[in-house]
Amino acid sequence: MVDLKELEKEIDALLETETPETLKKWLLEYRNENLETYMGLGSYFRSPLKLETCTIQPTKPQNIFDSTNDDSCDHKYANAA
Amino acid sequence: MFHTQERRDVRLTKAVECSRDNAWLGTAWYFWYHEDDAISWGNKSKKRTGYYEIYEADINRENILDTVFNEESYLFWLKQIEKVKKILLMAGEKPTLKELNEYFKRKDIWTRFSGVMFQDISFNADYFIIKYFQYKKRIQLAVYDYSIVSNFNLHFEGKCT
Repeated sequence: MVDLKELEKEIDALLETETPETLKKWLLEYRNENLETYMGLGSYFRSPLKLETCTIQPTKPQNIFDSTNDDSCDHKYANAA
Repeated sequence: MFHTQERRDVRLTKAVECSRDNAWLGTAWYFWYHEDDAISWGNKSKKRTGYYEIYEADINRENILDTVFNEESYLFWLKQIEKVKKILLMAGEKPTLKELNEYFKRKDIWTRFSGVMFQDISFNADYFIIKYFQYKKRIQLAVYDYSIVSNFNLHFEGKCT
């Protein structure tokens, strides 16, 4: 069993080493690392993140998934739009 | 506990690890506490092949951070999440719950536990006696250490409604 009080001391010690800037940096790096969107049936998912350049410009939608509600955790595709 | 996936050509021999944005306890293998939530999830989100599969498994929850039934664990988890959230808000960022949990996972804090059990709100209409009053907890377990999972087997297959 994990001692929660001891673990909390470790967490506090960890957070003592963090500043808003270091945590923000971690968060932004994590977000970049996990940039992913999903394509629905006959349409593109519009990510709030704007890509400055994109070389992939399909001329028509491609049906990769059968359902817009697909939640399969092993399907991850990069944003192509 | 139960694990829901869409029906595939080959039966699963292991749960599928999830890292989607709505996997808000971070990258983990997710299991449902109640079978009807597993079925509801199959109908809602595992419709790609028209059928879903419910697997069941035995899970050793001895080293789980149980935020559902254990008050101390719940308050501990809540407190730590709030600490990181506060710092990030100072940096002008609005993290998601998944991002907060991933932070603790990647800093080898949450990984001291074999998993985290939590509840959220279900919109399964079968649970409502009075409209909008959710009386039943929708409980999930996010497993970080797969060695606590045993006897993973197909429970049944269902047709999506």
